[in-house]
Amino acid sequence: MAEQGSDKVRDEFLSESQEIVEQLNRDLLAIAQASQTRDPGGEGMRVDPDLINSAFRAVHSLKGLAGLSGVEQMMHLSHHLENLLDSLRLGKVPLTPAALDLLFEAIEHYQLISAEVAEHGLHAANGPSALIDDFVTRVNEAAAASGVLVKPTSAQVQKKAQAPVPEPTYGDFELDAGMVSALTEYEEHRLRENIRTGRNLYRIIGSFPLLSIDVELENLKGNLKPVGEVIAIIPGTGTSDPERIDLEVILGSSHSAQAITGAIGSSSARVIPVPRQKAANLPPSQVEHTGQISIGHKPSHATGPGVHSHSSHPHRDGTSHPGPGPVSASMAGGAHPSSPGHAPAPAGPSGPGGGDGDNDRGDAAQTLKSVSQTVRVDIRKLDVLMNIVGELALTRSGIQVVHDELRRDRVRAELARALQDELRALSRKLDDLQAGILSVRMVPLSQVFDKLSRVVRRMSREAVGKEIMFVVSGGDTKLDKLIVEELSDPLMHLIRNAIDHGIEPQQTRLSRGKPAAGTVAITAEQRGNHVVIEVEDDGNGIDTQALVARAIAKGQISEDQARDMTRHEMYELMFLPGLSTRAVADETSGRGVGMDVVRTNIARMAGMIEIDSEPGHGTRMIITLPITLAIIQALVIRSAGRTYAIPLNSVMESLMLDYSQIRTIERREVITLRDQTLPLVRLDDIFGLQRPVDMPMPTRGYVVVVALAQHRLGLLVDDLLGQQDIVIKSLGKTLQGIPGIAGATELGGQQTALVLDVRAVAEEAMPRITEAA
Amino acid sequence: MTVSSHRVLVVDDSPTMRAFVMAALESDGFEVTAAKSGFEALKILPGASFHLIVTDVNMPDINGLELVRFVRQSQNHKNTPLIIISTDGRDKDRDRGMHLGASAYLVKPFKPEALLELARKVMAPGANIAPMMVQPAPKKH
Repeated sequence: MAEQGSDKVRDEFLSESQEIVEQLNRDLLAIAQASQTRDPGGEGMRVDPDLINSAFRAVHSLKGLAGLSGVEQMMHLSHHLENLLDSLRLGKVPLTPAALDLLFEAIEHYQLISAEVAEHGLHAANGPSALIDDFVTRVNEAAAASGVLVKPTSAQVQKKAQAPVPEPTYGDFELDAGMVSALTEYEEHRLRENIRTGRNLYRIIGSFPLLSIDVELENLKGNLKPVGEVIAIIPGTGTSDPERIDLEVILGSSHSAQAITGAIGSSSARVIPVPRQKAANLPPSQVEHTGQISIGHKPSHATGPGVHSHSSHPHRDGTSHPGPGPVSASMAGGAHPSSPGHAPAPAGPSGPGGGDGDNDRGDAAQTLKSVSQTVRVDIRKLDVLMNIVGELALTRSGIQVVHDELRRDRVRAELARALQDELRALSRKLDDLQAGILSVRMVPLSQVFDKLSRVVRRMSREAVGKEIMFVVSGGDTKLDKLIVEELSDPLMHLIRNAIDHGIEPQQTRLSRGKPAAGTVAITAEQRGNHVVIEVEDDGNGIDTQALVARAIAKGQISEDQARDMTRHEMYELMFLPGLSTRAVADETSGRGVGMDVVRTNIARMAGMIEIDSEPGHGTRMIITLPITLAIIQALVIRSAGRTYAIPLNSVMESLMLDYSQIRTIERREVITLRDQTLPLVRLDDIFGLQRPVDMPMPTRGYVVVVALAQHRLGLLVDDLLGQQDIVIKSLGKTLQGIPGIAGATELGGQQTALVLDVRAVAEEAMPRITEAA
Repeated sequence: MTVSSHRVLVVDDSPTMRAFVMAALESDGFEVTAAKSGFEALKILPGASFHLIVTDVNMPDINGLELVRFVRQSQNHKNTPLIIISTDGRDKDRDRGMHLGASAYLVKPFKPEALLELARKVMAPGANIAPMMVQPAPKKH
């Protein structure tokens, strides 16, 4: 690589910090999601503590990273955010919507700093920044908001838990002092919270083989997550078997020991309730022994009747004993917990216990995993690989030609067959390689959707008198990285329009019999080789009359034209440059600000955008995108002796046409296709191609029907040569920007062809269509 | 004093922090083993012997304090010098770590020299911890 050392350090910093910031964003979104269920009157929100802890850890990591890379502003920012998050996770400060907003705002600061570093290097974001200082001041104010609210607010208390325990005690639980002494402040806080909310405490003790401990512990945690909160994991000491580790999980749960044992599945761990002084809810015999077990105790070989033994399954059949704890004969003798030379840990079955819970693993663990299994690749390197694959495919075609030659020669028929076999094998591998590289390029749309959710949150707070519900679905739909990157601006634009101009103020909505909160939904779905993304709102809808009036006023259409327009043609007006202004948009049309730019951006990704709207009920924007731009399927055609490739994703169909079927309506050539009038465009006219003199005007040819939003357009060509996978190459600076041409491609056999930009070709033809209409 | 060929175990879940601590110690001739979690440390410790252990406090699953406790109760490392790395403002965690038997603490962020100086201090003979004992690997069962 020709990268400079410092560039490399910077790039590493950027990609690592980006990953962490994305994780932070996901955590915050999950927190925001969870906090929707808060008590309306509560001052704080009830949120999975793991999420806040994960956010804390993310900021903590960013601080470390920034510190090492010398990005002072980011270190400064992270340091203060970390304090706030620490107070939040320790319950010193209640999690309020305002605090959450602040955290979301932090993400934007992180991104500004990253952008600065990306542009000007690692030390660009050093020195004081008024913006960050101001933000830090607010963060510190929020963190200092503790004072009164050292105790978590009532909203954080589950309903059944009355009378919060005021003293920092562990209730009536008999906890081992040694164990408590090794808890971090956070773990201790979680322990108290669990006690305060009326949960029971359990110790889950197991012995794990060193070799498989990671997997087994993840499984155990995954299985425990649905039934409670893992407060701490404590290693046992004095293991006599060097191949195993004893571990004890402290779990807070409102479930019974039996239920927890059931949740653990086939793992060899045992569940022991932490005894209480009063022990009101435990049979005395059990209290007796469990009371003697403390930290550092190895799992005993003797498991009680109520608990599964190593070889048998836990009592899933429901016939087992209801008692909560194991009854262990050897422990009844009062074996001291940390006495050395205690019975060796049982060799439990080491098979991974209950893999079902894998999906429930803690966030932190998942993050660590994904980081260690991911290789970051510059997309440009994948482009290079993709080009090589494309070229290999061409070479393959070349060999095919040689093969065809060979086959004609009878003498070489044998050789030809052998070559054919090899060619087939090569083709298969090439397809695999291409699919493999493509799959690496694919990223989930959630990368964009997560960003959007954050911005929508902020915008909906700023939108006075409006309440917005943002619904996202299909974030796991995958698209080429390049497309996903390019999507955020257009989508943001559409969503901003929906919020600013689509969704009505609450009062208006109520008077129209709509729910007070407006819904903006974004959905994604794969359909064949395309991904369809829809941005939908339940607001005003588009006022076509205002739109038309505006277009007439600006001289873009005549009144006569306006009279004959269909509704969809009117919507198309929104994509005319400069048509819609704020004045129109705010009060009436609701849309159109910069929609021409949106369409251009989407067209650049070989995509299409259409509008559908129902006045008074809402608007839907439908974006159709190819899954990748790296390799596309194209229809190869000839016109006036030249070869062109038309991306297949814009082709609806093609049909043979006798030119006598062409009619002329108001100087426009059209045909009737399934009872609909289809305007025609001659490709040679568009490009001003001269037919060679010796080539007579054909009397028949082909119509390639292309789709453009609501329009269908027929491209009149001389011949169809077939379909082919092509890699589009840029035409270079001098030829770039020729309307109607997206690039060039090689077709094999040293042939090249220009690739049509269907959108631009149609735009070229559009005015004529409008004229004809 | 030279500390070459002294073995040290570095435990930190943050890759950057781990790399930083490792680089600092390696530059001074330490032979560094890294563990990216408390667990990994648990796996390594019983079968090895170190002259120094450096661990972060805040780690998922097995935290640094639990690790200190484990180390101090183990056969082969109960007297090994141990430095905990903590974050500013988390005094409670730090106090607990010291109480559990850590030899010293270091507050993030720190310079490599600070770590090395502390390492020399806690490893010096007569440091206020029992003299280091290098034990053979634990006997097999």
